[in-house]
Amino acid sequence: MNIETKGIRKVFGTHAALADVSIKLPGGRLSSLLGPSGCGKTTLLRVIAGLEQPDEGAVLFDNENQTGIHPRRRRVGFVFQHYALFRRLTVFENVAFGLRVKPRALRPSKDEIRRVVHEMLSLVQLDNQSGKFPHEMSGGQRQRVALARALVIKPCILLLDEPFGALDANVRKDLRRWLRRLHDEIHLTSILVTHDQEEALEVSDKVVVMNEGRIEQTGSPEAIYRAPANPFVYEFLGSVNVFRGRVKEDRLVHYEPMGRAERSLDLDTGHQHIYVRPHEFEISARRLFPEDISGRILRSGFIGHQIRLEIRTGGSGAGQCGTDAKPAGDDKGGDLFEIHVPFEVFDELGLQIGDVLYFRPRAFRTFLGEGI
Amino acid sequence: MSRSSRIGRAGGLGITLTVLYVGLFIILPFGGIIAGALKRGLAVFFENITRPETLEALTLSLSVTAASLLVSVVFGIAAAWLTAKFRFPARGIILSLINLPLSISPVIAGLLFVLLLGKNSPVGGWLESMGARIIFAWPGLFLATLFISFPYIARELLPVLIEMGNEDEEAALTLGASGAATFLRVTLPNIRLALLYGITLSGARAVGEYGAVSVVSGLLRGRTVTLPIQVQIFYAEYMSGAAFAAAVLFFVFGIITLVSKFTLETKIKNFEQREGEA
Repeated sequence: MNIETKGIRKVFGTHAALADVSIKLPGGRLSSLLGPSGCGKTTLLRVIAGLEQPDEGAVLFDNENQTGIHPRRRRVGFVFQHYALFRRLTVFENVAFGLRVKPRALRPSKDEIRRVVHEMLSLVQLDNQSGKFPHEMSGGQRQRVALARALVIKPCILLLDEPFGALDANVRKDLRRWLRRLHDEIHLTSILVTHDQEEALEVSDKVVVMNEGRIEQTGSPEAIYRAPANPFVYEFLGSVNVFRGRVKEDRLVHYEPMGRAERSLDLDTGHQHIYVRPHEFEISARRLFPEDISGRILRSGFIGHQIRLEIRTGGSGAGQCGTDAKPAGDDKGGDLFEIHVPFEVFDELGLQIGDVLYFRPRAFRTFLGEGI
Repeated sequence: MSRSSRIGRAGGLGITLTVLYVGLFIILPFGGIIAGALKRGLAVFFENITRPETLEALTLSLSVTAASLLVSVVFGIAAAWLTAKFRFPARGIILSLINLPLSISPVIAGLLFVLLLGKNSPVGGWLESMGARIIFAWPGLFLATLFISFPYIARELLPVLIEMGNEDEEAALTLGASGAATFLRVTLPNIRLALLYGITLSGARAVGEYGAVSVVSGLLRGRTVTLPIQVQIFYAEYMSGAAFAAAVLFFVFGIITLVSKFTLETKIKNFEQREGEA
């Protein structure tokens, strides 16, 4: 079922949680609403479910306006961050709930309920746990029960509000991959709300990046990651180094350290803000190109198979392309860079903390006229 | 080292004080009542406890208590649910009104009802002309008792409902449950223990209410004399045997309340422990 929102506006007190949000999400796909906390993503999900009334705008399911349609009748499965399982009911009764509360004429027979509930529980791989109470289960199991409970009413849309937010990192990874496989099996139109960019990029077909009640960018995970529309999206999708410099024909030809010129963008000199991800640098112990950036290694640490280096370039007058960094004592000003390289690469250079390192971006992005 | 040997001097003093307090203010008076009731033997006690005045007063007290409990439950759930789940302009007013009866003297509450609904008031006069008598009749006793005893249920439910949040009910809603089904299957099971606890407190308060009720009662014997008032009447008429016998009934109410309160508390604690382990 295609989902569309048209000019949704929702104000809580004086704070606009959603300011004119219009999106189109394709049927049968898993889409993510991604953004920092307080960006309005959960409010948008609740508006789609009908749990929240928008002040302006409309929600459409397959071009059908849902305004005024009670959440009870929208056939939307909703999974809450904290599961919201009925604690006095067993797992079986939790899942059966949606069937038992149907009007008498539509309610399935007892045997039918039993059959459907067990079918759902085996779908979420919990069929042998049906007699347990929610408090006897782990967080991951509870969230799977919540999912089975939402799916039992055969919803047209599945809405997941930070479903893995309360779980351990490992469980979270397992569960989101499992969710993706489940989605590939049942192809139910789904929207996942998350603040975890890794999660959004890994599981979804389409990502909607939100900030301060607005849509920043919509697209496939790859498009979002490779071609972020603006500095906010770029920075939200992972660590980033931002510095000033001059670019010519897709090459960085001049690096301008902080403290030398004022921070404001000076377009006359062609200086721009350059965005480079930590893993997009090449490093060397000696200067290989005249425009190499140089700086001293402040700290290093392992992150999985990579080493993370913190490098400070020299301030005022130093560190510019073609000049070596000043001694580490002259640390005022300059920029702090974060660089990730495979640790073999770093080991080969034989460098120590305090040594001078030369580096150059393999890739970078600039956003004309927009600073941080 | 065992726990008791570590209690120390301060603990010992605490225990002594507690035993003294319980002995002086609870065991001694209750013992006195029972001794007073049984002074002339069991036969006289039974004769006293089955006096027509006592039985009439008991029936009246029970009917007033039952009616006020019924209304308190409905009103208490509604008020607690509204104030816990919604934010609306009159919310603060409702919350203070729930606490009002606990903060004014019951006698004043009784007087308020007399002034508002008595024969000489506009409302009471109009009702009187319609043939409905409130003050010095059963409805007055009922209203006074209700006023004094209703806050207990709402006050027990409020924190439980707030802590429960809205998610359970929203989940039920998205699963297609109607408002009634959501209440019966989701909300009510979650507040069940707090509700029962509130009912025992409210019931105990209602049965024993004297101040407000005595003002609106008018002491019409056999018609508006509740059990606490009857005890007072017996006592004032030097019929201490009958007074003590009737008081024993309160003792029985007290025991029932305590036992059910204790049972419920244990049940709540066990349940919370089970939840905590998960």
